[in-house]
Amino acid sequence: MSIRKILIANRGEIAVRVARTCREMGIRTVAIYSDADRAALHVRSCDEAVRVGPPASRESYLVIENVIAACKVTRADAVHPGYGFLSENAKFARACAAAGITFIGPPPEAMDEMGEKTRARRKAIEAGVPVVPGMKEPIPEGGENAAKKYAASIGYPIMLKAASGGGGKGMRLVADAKGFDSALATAQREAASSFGDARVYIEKAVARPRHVEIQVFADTHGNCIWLGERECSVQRRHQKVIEETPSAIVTPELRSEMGRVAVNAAKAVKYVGAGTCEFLVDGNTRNFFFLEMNTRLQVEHPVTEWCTGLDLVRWQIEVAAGARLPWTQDDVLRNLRGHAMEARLYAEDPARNFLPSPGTILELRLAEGPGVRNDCGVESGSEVPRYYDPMIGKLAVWARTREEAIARLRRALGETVVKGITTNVAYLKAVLDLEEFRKGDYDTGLLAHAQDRLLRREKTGDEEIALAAAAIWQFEQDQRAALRQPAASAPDGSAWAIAGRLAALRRSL
Amino acid sequence: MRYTAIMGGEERLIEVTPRENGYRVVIDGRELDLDAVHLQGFALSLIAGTRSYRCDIDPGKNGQIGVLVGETVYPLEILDERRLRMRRAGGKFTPEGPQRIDAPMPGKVTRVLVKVGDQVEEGQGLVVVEAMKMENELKSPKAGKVTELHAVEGAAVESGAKLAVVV
Repeated sequence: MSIRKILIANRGEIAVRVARTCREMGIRTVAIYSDADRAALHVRSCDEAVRVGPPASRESYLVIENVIAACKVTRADAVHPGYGFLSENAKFARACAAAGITFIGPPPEAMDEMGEKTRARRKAIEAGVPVVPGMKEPIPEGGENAAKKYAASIGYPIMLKAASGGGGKGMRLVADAKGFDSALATAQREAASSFGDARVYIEKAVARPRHVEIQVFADTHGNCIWLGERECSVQRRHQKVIEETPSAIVTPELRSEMGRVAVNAAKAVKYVGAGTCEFLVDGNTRNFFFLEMNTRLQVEHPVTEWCTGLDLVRWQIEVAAGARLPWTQDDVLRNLRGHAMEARLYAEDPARNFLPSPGTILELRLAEGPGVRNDCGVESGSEVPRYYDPMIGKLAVWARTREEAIARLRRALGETVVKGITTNVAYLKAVLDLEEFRKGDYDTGLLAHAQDRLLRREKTGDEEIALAAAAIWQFEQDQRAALRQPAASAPDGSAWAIAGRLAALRRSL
Repeated sequence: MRYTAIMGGEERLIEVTPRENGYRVVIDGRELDLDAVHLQGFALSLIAGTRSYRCDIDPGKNGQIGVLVGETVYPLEILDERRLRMRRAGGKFTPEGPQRIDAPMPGKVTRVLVKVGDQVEEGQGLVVVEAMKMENELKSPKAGKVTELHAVEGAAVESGAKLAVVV
């Protein structure tokens, strides 16, 4: 079977990223867009584009019929769902199959078993995979009081998690019974608006937890391998902020044990394609617990690509077309090299409690140079709509060692300039400067604990240059405004004289 | 040309005079001779002596701008004499006065937690606005009474829209 045209059922950086690989493979691409995204970069990155509805994702990117109709109109033979949106929706995978379209992802049965978190936990237990104690079913409607009793019985702190969730949405840490009701209500509302499924469940919270995940990859011929781990413990409100591979706390023994367990979990559901088993590692004992399996490509897949040298999107497509994975587990492990680290760029304002800051990007300058990769969904002049996730892109670097990777990411963030909207770039730099992070000695609570240090403004002594630049800029604005007035009312000298002065100033243009 | 800059709550007096290849800038009496070149977008390359700086200007709203020098952003306001007078004349709310709660970003009002006339504590949630899938609870900046309430559940709001007033 060959795939000749792929509809990318997503937006933003991941749609652009998938389109890049398609282009390298000589595969035609179709973008979909909502009314808020007509001018978005991903629309221009594809060969064709189809409107799927109004701005709200529930009325556009999440409407299965519209996406299938777009496939039919463009005669796309396959769909790449990216992450988020319909990527872990088994109903969508089935609708694709029914329409004769190849869904680039696992079979719907595997999504059913792993997609809903409580079911995945049961499956993991059957496969002999260690799990964190918690509910085996989501909280039923009207079961709030029983759930609260259950929480008390396993002991606080507990986690509330969306049954169909991912990416930290619909997830709440609850410290005590007092906060239970409001946290449950918020988690349910967020779950409903993000995943179209309000159900949540309860898990016990692990002490000093590290979030470490294993990338697995399987073909349709029964081969299943793992591609190393990713350390994702730098999180803010359960949203990953910085990811890296390898993990500073994972020993070779722990790594191969986690890899073996992850492959078992994947095989237990007859997994196909790219998937990720997320684990919590107890920072004190190094015991690990299965959290969930993400049945899609992850946001942070570039760090795995850096260190394995593989294009995961290409292999998703190859496997969907029926190809065999050409490498053995040993091949992959032998070829792992160096250290990769990724930072997520968010349109949000750390100084204002990380409020999203949608708006127009006046100018975007991305880092370049050795070992740098940018995956961005926007460019200069792009509008960041308020309807979608605030992540605008990812900056990933590779270097030989963790220390060099940190220095390189720090340098690359220094080159990253986003004007017009507020971003977390300065915050990311502050995270890389944290001593705990540099030492590799932290847990998922790092950002919360270091909040004050991360938001502190440091003076660097360039205040006078900043003031001078502002005054020069204002002066030139004023001169230009004066130039537009009749010559007689120009404040000093004729308009010609001012024009000449301005031209002299801009000698480099 | 003379300007007043407000940075970190302090007023600084700046005088800008064009000179060959750039400007003489005097800040609170301290002179800087700067070679200046305009770059594409709102950016300047400045050389002071031999020290080279790239300065990016991020023009914000209401005269607020951000100046990026190296890796640090300096938020400031730059005012000429007319704008300075206007700013000084403009009424400012003291923390004791009526506090206006505005939408900090465009989004949708998902919940209104108070009614007009309610007594509220400092930090008490007033209105929840959802944008980009995240809920943001807007809290009262002071203890007082809700005298105005413009937020309506389910309504879309623009950035800066008045949602409530607490006196």
